[in-house]
Amino acid sequence: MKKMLTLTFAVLMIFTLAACGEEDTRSSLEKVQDEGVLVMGLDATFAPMGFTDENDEIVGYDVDLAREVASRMGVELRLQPIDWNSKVLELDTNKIDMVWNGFTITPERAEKVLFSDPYMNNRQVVLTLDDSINTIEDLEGKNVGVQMQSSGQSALESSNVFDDLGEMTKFDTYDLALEDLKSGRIDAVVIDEIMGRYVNNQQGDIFSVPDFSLGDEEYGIGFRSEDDALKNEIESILRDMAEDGTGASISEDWFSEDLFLIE
Amino acid sequence: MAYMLDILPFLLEGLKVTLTIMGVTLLLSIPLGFLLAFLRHTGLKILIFLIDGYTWLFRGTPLLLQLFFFMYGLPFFGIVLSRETAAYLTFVLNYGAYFTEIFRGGIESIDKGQFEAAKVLNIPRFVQIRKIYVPQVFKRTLPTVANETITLLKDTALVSTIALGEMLRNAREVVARDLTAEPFLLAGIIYLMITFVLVMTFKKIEKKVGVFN
Repeated sequence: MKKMLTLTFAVLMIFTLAACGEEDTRSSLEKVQDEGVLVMGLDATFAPMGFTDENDEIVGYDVDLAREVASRMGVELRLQPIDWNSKVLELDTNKIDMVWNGFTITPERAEKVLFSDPYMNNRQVVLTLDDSINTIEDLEGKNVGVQMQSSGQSALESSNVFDDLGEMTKFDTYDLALEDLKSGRIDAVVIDEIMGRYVNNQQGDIFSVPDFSLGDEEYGIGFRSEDDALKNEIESILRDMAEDGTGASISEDWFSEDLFLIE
Repeated sequence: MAYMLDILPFLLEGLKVTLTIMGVTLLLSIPLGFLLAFLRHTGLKILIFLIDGYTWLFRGTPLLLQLFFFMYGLPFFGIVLSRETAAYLTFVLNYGAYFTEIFRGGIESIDKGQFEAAKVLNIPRFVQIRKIYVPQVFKRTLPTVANETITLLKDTALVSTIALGEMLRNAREVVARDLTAEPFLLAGIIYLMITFVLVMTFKKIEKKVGVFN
């Protein structure tokens, strides 16, 4: 048994080492400019920030912003759908250059990820079919769904009602959580207001959105912690877009109002 | 190492789900496969048609798709299964289809002469099955069944897609929380340890039934 374990460890170690590969000495900004490609990681089910539309194309507010940024940088934007749980691993292993997809800025995340200035405000709200849920206390005894490791999960876990919940169910994506909400397996879903209102509207406003929030937050773009240069470049382009009104007009395309925070 | 020990309980909690699904599936799908293989062996056209249709359906579509169907498709018809029930049902039906085919192969590999001899000796059909077929089919299909069992262990990871916290999903959750890949290493080691036990167990059983040789 002991031998087996040692062998297992040895094999796994070899794989880990082999995966490291050679170091690229260029900064990410240089690499993006050299290769002419900016890779954006996103959970392609997060409407309206980045999602797959009926023509099987990934579209969204964040995608439009990023396209504009990439074209001003003179590079091609490549969209890379990722597993949202693995976003930081994707970033750290250089599979993507940034996470840009309604990525909430939190202190824990900021330890591992370099965030841009916030470009949008958001709140965590609840979607439900249950008329008896009107205040946060009404979640007591209910089965509440969240997206695994989302800021909605943290917001729910740090709320006062958490200890009295019936159950918290963690989903890989919000669309699955909403399916379960429809079929009645869960009673409520904690979701980003931006997304919640959008998908609810798409589905003919079948869910109610009680008037309370589990927390206010801001969206930012996530970079590798050493990628100041890339972050600064993109922030300066976003400021240009604020100045010439492009940011506001993209926001109006999606939300019919100017929610672009950058000045 | 201390970190590994820290996260171990959470992974073991997931392991319980993994092993439960595996246990329920084996316990129900092997008898199901045996039953259907013998029903098919009766030669009744309608039974053959139905059973072949079933194995085609469940072997011909991805297990993941079947899982989604029982979880998110059935509610459209007004049937809402609990997360666990949906998982058990999918796995039992899917593995039952494979076992049916495995046991069919086992039955058909038995020399027809034995069957004819039993007939001449007037041994009742039920006794034929129990004393002649079952022991031989069991022995001949054992390596394949061992193979399926190991595949099953790993297939259970699919239930993470319907929000069941099996071991790999729990590992993934810790990875997302702590932003380190170590939980994957730990999960890999646990999987290997279980397959090691499975392989050893099946070897022992094989040796034991080998006595009939």
